[in-house]
Amino acid sequence: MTVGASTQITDLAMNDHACLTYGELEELFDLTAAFVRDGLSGGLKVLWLSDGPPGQALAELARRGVDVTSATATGQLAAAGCEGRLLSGQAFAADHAMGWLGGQMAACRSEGFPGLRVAVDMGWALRPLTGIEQLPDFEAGIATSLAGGTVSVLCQYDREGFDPVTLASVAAYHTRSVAAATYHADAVLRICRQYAPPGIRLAGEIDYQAAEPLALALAEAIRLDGDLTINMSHLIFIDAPCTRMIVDAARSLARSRQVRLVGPAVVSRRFASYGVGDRPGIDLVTVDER
Amino acid sequence: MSGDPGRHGLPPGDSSPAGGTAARAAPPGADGSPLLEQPFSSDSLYALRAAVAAHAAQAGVPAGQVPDLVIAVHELATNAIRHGAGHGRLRIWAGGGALHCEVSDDGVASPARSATAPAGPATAPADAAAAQAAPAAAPADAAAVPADPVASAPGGARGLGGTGVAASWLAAHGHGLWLVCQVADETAVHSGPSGTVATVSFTLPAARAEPVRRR
Repeated sequence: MTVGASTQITDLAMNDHACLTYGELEELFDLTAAFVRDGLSGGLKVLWLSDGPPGQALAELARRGVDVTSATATGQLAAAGCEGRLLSGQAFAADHAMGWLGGQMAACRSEGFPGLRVAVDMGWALRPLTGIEQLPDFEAGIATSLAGGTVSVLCQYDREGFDPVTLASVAAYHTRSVAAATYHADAVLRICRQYAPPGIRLAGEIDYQAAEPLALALAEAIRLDGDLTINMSHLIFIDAPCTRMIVDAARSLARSRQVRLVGPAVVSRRFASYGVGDRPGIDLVTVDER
Repeated sequence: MSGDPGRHGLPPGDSSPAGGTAARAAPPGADGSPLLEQPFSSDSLYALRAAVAAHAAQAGVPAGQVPDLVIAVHELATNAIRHGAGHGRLRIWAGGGALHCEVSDDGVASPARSATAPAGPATAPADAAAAQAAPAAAPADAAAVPADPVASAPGGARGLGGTGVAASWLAAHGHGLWLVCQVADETAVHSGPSGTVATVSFTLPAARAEPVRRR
């Protein structure tokens, strides 16, 4: 049932060179937050070369439960853009980019961190640049430099943006491919695992016809430890049977575990009519419709 | 809800007098002529919801209340699909200061059938989940429906009217009808040998009871 994910983001090893493919920004931020969170909790240094402004990237991590303030203050976490690091003046050169990565690995060692995690949003490679044909060389260089070490690199590719030929040509250099566990995906509805904070994410419109993948997603999420988030921020319709399934799943959890039901007013209203708003252990959070 | 009736269009092959192109051109008048008439099945619930949202907004239902109308029609249509004929027909018209949505199907909804109807593999977990719902924690479906649902609801009040076997199965099984009764100003369900007709009504704001036509 779970498709598209050979490895979960939470199962990466010390020196993995992983290829993450994502279909939407929400998925990118979620998976990156899990990568960063697990790196920080393991005492590793973590860098994210994001495609957007670094401040915004850190804000997205903070929204997903990463303690950005203290991690950046101690130098354990940093976000930066690609220019001046992988790129110089809109030109890409594989040896220059590898030089930057080598410098970061050396700095990490001298700062006393036991290892390094680097996430790189490859969105820059979709823009007009010179030297882009060296992208496979770069990926090959990373693969070589990580062998046997304590550095892992997560290359982040937008499934919609990159053509299948490019994705296939770089895939071979990676030790693993990572994607969100997806239970259902079509034009109307998407159900997938959420990693940070743990739970599931529903987007689109859901009704009884998707009860089977929803039940599976809930069952797997319940088996995770700790608090549970049902992220429905991008859900615009939910029918009675699906509302009830989620309410039942939330109620089935032990009292020690908190469940957060997050959705726009049109969705949280459905849950409020089932009386979950005033129930201990279940938080009903209404977010703005986006 | 992305409600653009033009994108989804109205279904062809409508044999009823008020259907087809007549329904497409029907003005939002108070004479009871339908604003929308559309058949549905399990494959077209998404299009049905989009059409309902678009027509409700155009008929003067406040934006905040459109989702209530959509969920009410969706749940009634779901009942027709899962516990009735497997498909049905929606009619929406304005009259008496309210917008009325009628969902009909020509299946025979018997209590035994609605309880055991094989409604496809995808529905099993939902049924199981509903069956497992803790009675104390559930929203008391049966209790929310009047004990004697055959009695018609008093005019204007939120309530449920119904006749025939529909009255018993909707109270006994609460197939989303509890929710329908919560959101609609009036709900009536009648079923008999020729099928089930469920109607929900939503009072239109007084100031907009006579919506201005877009001409």
